[in-house]
Amino acid sequence: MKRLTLTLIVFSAAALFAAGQETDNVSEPVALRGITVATRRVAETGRQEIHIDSAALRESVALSLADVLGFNSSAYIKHFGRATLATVSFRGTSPSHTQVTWNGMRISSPMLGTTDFSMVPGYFVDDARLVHGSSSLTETGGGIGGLVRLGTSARTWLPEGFSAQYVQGAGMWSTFDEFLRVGYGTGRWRVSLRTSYSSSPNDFPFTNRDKKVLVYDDDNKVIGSYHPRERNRSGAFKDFHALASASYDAGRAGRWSIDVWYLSSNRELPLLTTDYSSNAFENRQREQTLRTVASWQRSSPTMAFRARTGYIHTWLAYDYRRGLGGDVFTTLTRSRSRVNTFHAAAGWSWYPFDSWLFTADVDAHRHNVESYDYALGAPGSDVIPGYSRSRMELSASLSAKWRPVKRFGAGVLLRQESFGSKVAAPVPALFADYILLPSIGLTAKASASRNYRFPTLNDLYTIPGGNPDLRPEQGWTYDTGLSSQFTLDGAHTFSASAGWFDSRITDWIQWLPSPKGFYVPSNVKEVHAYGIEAEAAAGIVLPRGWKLDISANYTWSASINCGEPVNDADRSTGKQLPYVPRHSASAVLRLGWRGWELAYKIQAYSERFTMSSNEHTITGHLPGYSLSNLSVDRSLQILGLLWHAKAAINNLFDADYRTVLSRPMPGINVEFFLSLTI
Amino acid sequence: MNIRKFFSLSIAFATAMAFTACSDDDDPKPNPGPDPELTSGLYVICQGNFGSANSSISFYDPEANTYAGEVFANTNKIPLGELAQSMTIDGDDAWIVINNSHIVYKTDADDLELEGSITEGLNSPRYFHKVSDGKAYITQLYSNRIAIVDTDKLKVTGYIEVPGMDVATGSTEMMVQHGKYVYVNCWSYQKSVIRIDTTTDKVDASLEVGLQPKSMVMDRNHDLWLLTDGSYEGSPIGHEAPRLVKVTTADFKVAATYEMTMNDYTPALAINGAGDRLYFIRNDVYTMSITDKALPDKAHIDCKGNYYYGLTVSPANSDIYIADAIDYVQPGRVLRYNDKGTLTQSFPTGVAPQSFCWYNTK
Repeated sequence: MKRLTLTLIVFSAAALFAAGQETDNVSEPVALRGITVATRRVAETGRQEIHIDSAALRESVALSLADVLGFNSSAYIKHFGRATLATVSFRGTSPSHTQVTWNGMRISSPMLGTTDFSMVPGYFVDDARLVHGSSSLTETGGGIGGLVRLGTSARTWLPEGFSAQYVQGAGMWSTFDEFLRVGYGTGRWRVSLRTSYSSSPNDFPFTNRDKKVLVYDDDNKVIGSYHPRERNRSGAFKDFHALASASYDAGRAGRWSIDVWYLSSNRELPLLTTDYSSNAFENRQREQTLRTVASWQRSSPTMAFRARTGYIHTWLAYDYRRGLGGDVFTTLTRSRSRVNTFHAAAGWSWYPFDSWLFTADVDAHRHNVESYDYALGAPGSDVIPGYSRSRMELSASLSAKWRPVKRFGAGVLLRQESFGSKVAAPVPALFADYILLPSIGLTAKASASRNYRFPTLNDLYTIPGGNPDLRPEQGWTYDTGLSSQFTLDGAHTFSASAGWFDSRITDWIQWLPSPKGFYVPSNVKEVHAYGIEAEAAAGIVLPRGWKLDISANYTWSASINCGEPVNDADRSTGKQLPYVPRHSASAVLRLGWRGWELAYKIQAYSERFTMSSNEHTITGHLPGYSLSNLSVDRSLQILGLLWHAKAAINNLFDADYRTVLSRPMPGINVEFFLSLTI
Repeated sequence: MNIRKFFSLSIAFATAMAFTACSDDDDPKPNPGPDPELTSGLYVICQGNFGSANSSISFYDPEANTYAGEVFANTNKIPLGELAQSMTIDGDDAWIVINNSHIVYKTDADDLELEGSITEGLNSPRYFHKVSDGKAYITQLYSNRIAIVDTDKLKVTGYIEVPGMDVATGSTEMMVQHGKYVYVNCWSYQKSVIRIDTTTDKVDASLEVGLQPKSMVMDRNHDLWLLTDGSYEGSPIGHEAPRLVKVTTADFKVAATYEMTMNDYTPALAINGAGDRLYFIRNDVYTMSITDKALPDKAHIDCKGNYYYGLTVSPANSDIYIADAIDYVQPGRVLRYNDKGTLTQSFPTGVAPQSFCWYNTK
């Protein structure tokens, strides 16, 4: 693992000093002896983000956003299994410190504070960015680690006229993925509908090294043992998504758009590798979610106005039943949750001069949550454990950015938020950047901000366990770094960035077991998270129609518990937090030639501890691992239609790995895709 | 600013940040030795975390003051499982109940080498009790049935249904036996102790003692003592102050009830080897004679605000052992006190130590 890590560091570093970034964020190209360098807009002053390439999002209909981010960023993806809960965290923070927005509306669960990225198909996202640390405050609060900003917009990719695409995927373990998109565009209108359906029994085989089967002789004495070959139990899934988008450009009256995203998911939750149960059981999660965002924006040379409204409805059911023999089952959990979120936002930007930008934004989310476990109602009692709560979350920000000369820019932001009746202290943020070497667009950036996160509704109110006395998590974040991006000879693109981050978070909320048999959250830790992030990418046009794209990401992250020890035996102080890898890296290589594309992807994480005291015992840590995927894609024009055929090998080297203790992951497997585009 | 100066400042800043980081021990150590001979002493059952399969069993030799961690995993080269609940030693056999792995291991009591297991017919096993040669009971959570087990064939042969108990909120826990009767406290969402006639394998009596009786011991007079936890606020069965309850087995009636204070923390009850002195955690550790007529006013051991998770008393010398889960996500420890309440030793364990099993200790 150390060798792999070193290789990735060297790879990243080499690319870093040779390379640059894609040109999405740039404007005003300046040509210098064959090198085209982008200068920075005032709006981007000090901003640190990674833009996920659209080719990565569109790579395979079978990929969720968790898969895409795993191979195209150094964020830590915590997979609980194939097609099972996957959370994203970066900069050494927890998944609940990652804010997630879709078209500007926060979509993290108000109950849990997290987003299941395995429920976001990559094909449904037109724009994905990881906005790091302080930069996330320009869009929303609460992202102590940062923000995953997702966008769908038919206007960005849909051509005029009628278009359609159908993709059929088939993989091992009876895995099938279907995707259909139809769209129509005119000068002012863009309308599209995307649907996808994925299903699989997901019963992949694996050698269970957490179990032993004993071999007995005729006298019932043990004479041997072996690790059994098992199949993933209770892993079946059926996920349906539909996304309708419409956009209308009304000219001077602005641009209107609406997106409606419906998902229906029916998933079994896999058993741990240490579960020996032979009784029949059902362990199933069902979700139906409807998300809607309607937005309007109007721009003039000196001003921009925007407004947005949205609604999210989520119905979530979790059932855990175990057989008692025959058709008799006992229900251990019958949890039902309903979440209704209403959202509204408005904003204004003003460019009084080329060098100044002022913005003012305000947004509101109102959550109505009902969450009960109907299995726990005692006979003769009408009390059902759970809660029904509403919370209004308001956020407002003012910012000013100034770029007096092309090489220097600075900005200040002040955000104020309230959750229910509690008002947070104002959150300031400062940003600055300076172009050190215009010839290659080498820019130094720095930012500093305060940030905080309010407890989720489950943290506060769930029964049993909720703790209404929790304090918000809060802290300060500092970033500094270098970035460069340029185009060579008008064809080859290079980009790179590297930076240092440093955050201190106090009152870190942690759920801990209680002797009463349930978990209870409390403010237990102070955490110092710091480290280095680096990324690099190059797009090189080679002779004879060849094209090479390389990208790599690397993060070294220390996430250290600096809190007061629980008592004199507490060995967690000064240790890395559980499930935060020190090293995480990914790289993608794409080689294209006349309609062919070969893609090789790798992601790697160093060891992760499962215990706060960082033990190297059998269950105290998970070894580091690397995971490689290889695919070949061929596109052809036949009878005026564009065909794509693709073969992908996942887990190319058949790595036996775990992302979470005792959660099985699949070995080498193969998928095939056929796509038809009109 | 030229680029050289910028780099110098950047390096200085990064270095300063690194030095302001709190101390970070990069080199965590595996469990220290030395390994004791596992011939007599105390097994510590470490529950681990829900959903993590990191339970374990530690061993401590009080004579030599030596310990060993992860005994089962080191012997068998597989993890113990998810949520170890209890361990019972019967002769040369140690029976280990792993609640959320739905398994009861039969192992050699000397080193916990795996000899067999019971997996079929168990819902959510909690405790194992050997009733007689070839026959045992296994209590369960989320069930109204106690499994009857053939300990030779390692098979569930039948069930004892608890009358009036709902399946989903059902719970049967610890077992103690006197004569032909086995007594079982019913904890989660329950409030009773039940009596099983082992000749018929049927519940023949039930007695309400208070909300959620969590632990139970039998004294030298064969009377039962139960410690309730009072349930929690918002529970469907209600919420009340915990209590210590004495039940006389001769007539199976509540003989005494000692009320505590609302929200007192009462995870464990133990009794000494002579069976005449009780020890229990009520925020701190208290002790009282079985003949006392009131709860003690003064704590025997001040827990200093720590929420200790388990308790046992040496049958040989009445030393008191308290399980400290620390933050529940790191290896815990056990604190050893003498019978006067003076701390004499402590030793590390696995994650969330919560119950104990004495082996070959008289």
